[in-house]
Amino acid sequence: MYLIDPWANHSRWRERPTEVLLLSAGLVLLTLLLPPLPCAVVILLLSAVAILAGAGIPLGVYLRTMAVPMSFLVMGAATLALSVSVSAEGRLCLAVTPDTLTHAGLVFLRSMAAVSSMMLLALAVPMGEILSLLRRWRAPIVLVELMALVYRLLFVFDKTLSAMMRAQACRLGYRNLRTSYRSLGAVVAALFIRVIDRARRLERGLAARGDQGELRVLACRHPVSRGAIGLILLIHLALVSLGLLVEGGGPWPN
Amino acid sequence: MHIAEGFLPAGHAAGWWLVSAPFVAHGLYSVGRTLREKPETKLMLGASGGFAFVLSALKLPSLASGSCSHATGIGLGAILFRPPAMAVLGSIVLLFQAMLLAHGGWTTLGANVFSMAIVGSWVAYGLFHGGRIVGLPFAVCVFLAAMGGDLATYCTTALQLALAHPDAVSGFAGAVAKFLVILAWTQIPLAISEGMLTVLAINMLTAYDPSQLGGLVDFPQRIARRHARLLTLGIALLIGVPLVIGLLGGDEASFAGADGLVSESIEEQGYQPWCSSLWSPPNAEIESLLFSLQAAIGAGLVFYCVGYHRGQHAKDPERPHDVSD
Repeated sequence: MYLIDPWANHSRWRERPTEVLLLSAGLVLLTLLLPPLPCAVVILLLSAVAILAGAGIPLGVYLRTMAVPMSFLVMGAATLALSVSVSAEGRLCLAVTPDTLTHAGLVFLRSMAAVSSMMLLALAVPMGEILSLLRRWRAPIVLVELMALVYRLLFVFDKTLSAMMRAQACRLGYRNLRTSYRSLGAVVAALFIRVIDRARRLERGLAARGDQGELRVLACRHPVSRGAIGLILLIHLALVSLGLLVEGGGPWPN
Repeated sequence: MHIAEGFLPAGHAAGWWLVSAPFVAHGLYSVGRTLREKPETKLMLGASGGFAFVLSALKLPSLASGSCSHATGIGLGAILFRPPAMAVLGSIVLLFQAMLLAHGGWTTLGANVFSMAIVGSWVAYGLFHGGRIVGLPFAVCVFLAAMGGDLATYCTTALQLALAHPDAVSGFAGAVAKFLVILAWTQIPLAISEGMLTVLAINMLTAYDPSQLGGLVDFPQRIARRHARLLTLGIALLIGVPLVIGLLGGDEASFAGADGLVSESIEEQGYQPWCSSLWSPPNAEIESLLFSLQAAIGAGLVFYCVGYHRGQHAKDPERPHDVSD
């Protein structure tokens, strides 16, 4: 389930959060703003190359993460390709026209490119680096602190949950549908009580160490390379000019 | 079911961000205020966010074969933590789902936060407390809240998708129907199973000593006062809304009685009355006098009963004087 997080910590670009964030966020925005037919293809290829060659993520991992939103994308695109209407005589008409097919194809392509660009940040930079970046950029402190806490605790709780579910499975708790629901209900309730208990113990530990209301950790400052930033801006600029060149000819999905 | 990155056009994505922003800002504000008063609740909130994330990744046993569905945890979260906090926790959970699980996206985050953490949690919260006020059994309220939260999320998602991608022939309405039908395949079994699961989980939670939960699970006493307020508001609305509608209706005819309207329309069709009243009031003033006399007698009777019961309460030393205390 947690495929992305371990690989983000192994990425070659894990110490370049600022540059990757700029590249990834810029590509996501450009995907939405530029006509998809030449641009989305270029962006999809660009982000794939950046993830595979730049950050050094294996192809299998990339393909498996891209497969996650596929069920939604395929279903959504199929819905767009099919036009449904009620004719004057009250009959239901289903139609697939070249127009709807183009529309569905373009939206699908744009979505793939955008997901791939977003995964560039997710796969190439660990969440801890992103959080310390947010803290340095003075995002609302309540939000950053809560995000950091959620991120640290979610793996602990997931481990607790899977241990409890394994114990139930060993006692035939998931033998049929009835017992499955009973066991799941019990595991959710038990996890909630564990969560509350752990929060209370953490709270007491922090209070005993003189908690001032902010969890300060030492964050490594990574030097930002000017050349890399310039290159990224150049890539964005090239994409924008490509989009403007075909502005008239490129088809637009809604 | 979250809308994937890039599926909404730029204008729609930005619009949904703007719509969600005030709710999340209000949630942040209320969370920040709680944190200033009680700094120790920060860990509780962070832990709740982790819990919500783990819950949303939980795979539910499928009712319809072939459909694998994940819980959303909105119903449980809205009941336990109230909707403003859920707007914040839900946004964080959705962002982590996009970053760690590749579900959802950044530009579609606004739309997903709106459908799940705002509409879903307010509907779940409203259904839970509405059911309690009406007097439905506890388990039924929890079931309705969890199922209703999921269904509201699913309908909102369908609306958002249809707004962004209207059908070529039948327009917005046709697109809504299309997306509702396509998403129903996974979302309706999910809503039912999540309802059942939430009932089981809350039942087992209440079996645990509630004082251990530190006021987070605030079932009977703390809710009672809020319920009294909501009930008053509901009654005021029930009285006020028809009055306003009547006033806006304008002409006097909107106050005409049903009896007169019905007999007129029957006579228009050619039917003749075959008997008449034994006695009819000589003029309109006598008629209204009789009506107000009737109202006065009725009011006297009702308030006699209310006063009698209040006196009985006052005499009984065992019972409190005021029900709302």
